[in-house]
Amino acid sequence: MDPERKKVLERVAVSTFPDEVLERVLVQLKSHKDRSSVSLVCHSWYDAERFSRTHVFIANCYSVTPEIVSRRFPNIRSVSLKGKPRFSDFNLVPPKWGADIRSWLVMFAAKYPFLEELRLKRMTVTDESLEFLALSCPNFKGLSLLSCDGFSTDGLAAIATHCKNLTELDIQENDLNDKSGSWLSCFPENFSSLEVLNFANLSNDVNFEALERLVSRCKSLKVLKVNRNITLEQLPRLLIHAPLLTELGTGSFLQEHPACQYSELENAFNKCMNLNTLSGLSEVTALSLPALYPTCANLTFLNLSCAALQSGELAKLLVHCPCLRRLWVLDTVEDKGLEAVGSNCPLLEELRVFPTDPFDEDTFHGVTESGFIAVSYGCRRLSYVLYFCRQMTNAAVETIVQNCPDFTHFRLCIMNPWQPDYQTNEPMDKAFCAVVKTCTRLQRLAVSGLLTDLTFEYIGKYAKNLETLSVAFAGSSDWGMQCVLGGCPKLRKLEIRDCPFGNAALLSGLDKYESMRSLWMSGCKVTMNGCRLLAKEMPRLNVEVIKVDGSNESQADKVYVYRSVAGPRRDAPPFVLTL
Amino acid sequence: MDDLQLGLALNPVVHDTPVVKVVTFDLNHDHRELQPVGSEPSNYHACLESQKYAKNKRNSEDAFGKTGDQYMTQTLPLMKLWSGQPNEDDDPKGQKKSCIINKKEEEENHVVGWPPIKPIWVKKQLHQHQGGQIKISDRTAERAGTGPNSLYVKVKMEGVPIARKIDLRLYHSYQMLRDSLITMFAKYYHQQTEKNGASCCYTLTYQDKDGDWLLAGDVPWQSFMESVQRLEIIRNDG
Repeated sequence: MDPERKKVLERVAVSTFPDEVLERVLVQLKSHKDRSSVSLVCHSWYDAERFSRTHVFIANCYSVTPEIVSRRFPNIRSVSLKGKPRFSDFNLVPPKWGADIRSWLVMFAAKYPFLEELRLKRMTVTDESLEFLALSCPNFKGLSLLSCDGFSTDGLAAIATHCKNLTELDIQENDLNDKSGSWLSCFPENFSSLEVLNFANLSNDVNFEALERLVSRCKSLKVLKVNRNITLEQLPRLLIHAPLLTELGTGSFLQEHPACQYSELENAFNKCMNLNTLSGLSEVTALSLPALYPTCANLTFLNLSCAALQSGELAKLLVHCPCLRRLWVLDTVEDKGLEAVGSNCPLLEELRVFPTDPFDEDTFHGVTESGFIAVSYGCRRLSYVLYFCRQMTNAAVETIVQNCPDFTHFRLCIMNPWQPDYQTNEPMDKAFCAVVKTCTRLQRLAVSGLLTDLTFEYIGKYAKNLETLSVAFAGSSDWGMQCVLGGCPKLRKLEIRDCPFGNAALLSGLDKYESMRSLWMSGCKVTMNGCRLLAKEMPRLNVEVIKVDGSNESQADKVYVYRSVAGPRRDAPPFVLTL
Repeated sequence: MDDLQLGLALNPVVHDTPVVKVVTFDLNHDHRELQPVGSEPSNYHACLESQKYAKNKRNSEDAFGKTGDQYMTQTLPLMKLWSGQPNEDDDPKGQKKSCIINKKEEEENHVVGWPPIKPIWVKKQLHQHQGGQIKISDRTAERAGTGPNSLYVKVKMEGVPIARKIDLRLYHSYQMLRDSLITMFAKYYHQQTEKNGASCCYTLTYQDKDGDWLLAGDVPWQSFMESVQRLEIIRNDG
C-alpha cells in the first residue's frame, strides 16, 4: 500500500474511534501506572482517561493541589493520599508539620460530593474534618486511616453517626486520642452495611452488646479486627454471627476458665472456615492456641506481632498452616521458631520479625542470623522480608539470597548502629553487595550495620529495579550517595539518616530528583547553602529544611526534597523553611 | 558439665515460707551437696556493699575497637550521641541507687527514632512484657485477678556484659529457676573463674516492685513471681 495512504488511514482510524467506547474500555484499567501511560498517548486518550478515572492515588499530598486534581479528574469516587515523610513514623518529624486533610476535604465537598472512599496514610486529620467529611459526602462508604494523627474517637463517632452507607472503617496504627469506646454505639440500630471493621488500634472498651448487635446485623461482614479488650470468652459470641469472615483480628486470647470456654471457642472457630487472615491473639497461651488449629488450614496471612509466642508454641501452630504466604512474628520465637517456619511453610513469601525489646541492647534475646538462614532454606519463594536482629554476618546473607534470589523487598535492621559482621568484624558490605547482585527484582532495600561506600557503589551499579532505599548510620563519604544517585535508574524514594553525606552528595542528584518522589536527609552533613543551591538550580523541586532547636545556623538538620507542581507549601509551619 | 556455685540464702525470719535449703555446688564434684546456710539481712547488705556494680554496658571501644580506626574516626561524635551515658564504673557507695534503674531512664538513652519501630509497636510490647505489672483496670468484672501471661525478667550476671531474658512463667520453683540459670550462665562462670583465679560463689538477688534488692528465696515462689522485676547473680568475693 502507498505509505501516504496508509498514514491517512491510520490517522482517521484513531480519530474516529468514539470517545465513549474508549472510555468504556479505559474504565476497566485500574493500575494508576497504566493509566498514566494511557494519558500520554494523545489528547483524546488523555481526555478519555481522565473522564473514566474513578480512583486517584496521590503519593505525596504536597506534590499537587486539590484544585489541579479536581480539574483534571471530574469523576473521582475514591482517593488515596499519603502525607508526611516516612521517617515521621519514628519521631523524626516535629508535630504540626502539616499534611492536613482539611483543604482536600473542602475540595471534595465541592467537586466530589459523591466520594465513596478515602484512604489516608500519615496525614493529620481532625475530628472536625471527619465530621465535615461525613456530612458533606452522603454516599461515603469506606474510610481507612493508617499512621494518621490529630483525631480522637469523637471523629469516629461522627463517621458512625452520619455515614449511613458505610462499608469500611479501618483504623490502623494511628496516634489518636482514644477518649472512650462509645463511638461504636453511634452506629444506628438499623445500620447493617458494614463489611470491614478494624478497631484493633484502640485501647478503650467498646460496649460489647452494641458490638455484638452490630456484627449480627451486618450480614456481609468480611473483616473484623477487634481490640485487646474483647475477651476470649466474648469472641465466640461475635464469630457465630459472622460466618463469612475472611479476616479476623481477635482481642485477648488469654483463657480464664479453661473447660467450658474452650469447647465454645472450638465450635466458633470450626464455623469460620473462610478465614485467610488471622491477627490479634494478644496474651495467647499454649492452652488457648490449639483452639485455632482447625481454622488454620486455609490461612494465608498470620499476624502474630501481638502474640509473644515461644518457639515450641509457634512450631506446633505452624504444623496446621501449610498454606501460609505471609507471616509476622515477634522475636520471642527465636531462631528455633524460625526453623519451624522453614520446615512448615514452603509457600511463604513474606516474613516480618519484630523486636520485643528494641531499646535493650544489653540483653541477649531475639533472633540471629541462624533463624534467617533456616527460613531461607525452607521457604524458597521468600520475596519480602523485614528482619530485626542484633547480630548478622556477611556469609549468612550471602547464603540467604542464594537460597532466595527473588527478593523484591529486603529490609534488614541490625539494631545496634555501625555493627560489623560479628564473626569477622568486617563491615557488612559483602552482605548487601550479594543482595543487589543476586536479587535482580529488588524494589525496596533497607540497609544497616557497619557499611562503607562500597555498599553504595554496588547498589548504584546493580540495583536496576530499586525504587525505595533506606539508609541509616552508614557510608564513609559523599561518594557513597553519589553512586546511588548516579545509578539506580528507577529510584523513587531515598531516605537517609545520620550518614556522612554532604553537599557534594546532595548536589550530585540534581538531574535525578525530578524523576523521584522524594529525598529525605537528616543528621547528615548538608548545609543551608547546599540546600539553597539545590533550590536555585531546580525550581520545580520543593526544598524544605526542618530546623531543629539549638542547632547550628548553617547546618541543614533535616532536609526534605520533593517534586511538585503545586509550588512551595502555603501551610508550612515556622520551623519548615522552604528554600 | 561443671556446676556453678549458686547460693540461695535462707532467711531465718520466717512467715509461712517454706524452708529453702541453700544449695551450693562444688566445682569438684559431680553431684550436688546440700548445705544449710544461715544468713541474716545484715550479711546480705554487707555483701552488697562490698560488690562493685559496674554498669558493664558495652562501650564503643569494646564493641568496635577491632574494626579499626578508619571506620571509627568520623563516626565517633555520632556514637557518643548514641551510647548515651558515658561508660564508667558506678560509685560503689551509690550502688543501691544505681541498681534501681527504671525503664524510662533506659529508654531515654537511645537515639531518637532508632531502631525504626513505630511507637505504637512499643506500646504493644509494653503491654506484654512488663515484668510483674498487669493492666487490669479495663477488664470487666467476670475476669478475676489475671496473672501475667508471660513474665519476662532480665537476668544479669555480675561481670558479664550481656544480660539474658527469661520467662518466669516457665518455672514453678526456685529450684527450676536456679537450674536453668546455671545452664544459661555456665560459660560465663568459667570465664570469670579464669579471670579471677579462685572459684567463685554466686548469690541470686532480685529487685522487687518497690525497687528494693532482695535475696531470692525469702518469699514463697508465687509472691516472688508477683513482685520480681529483674534478677542479678552477684559474686560473693570473700
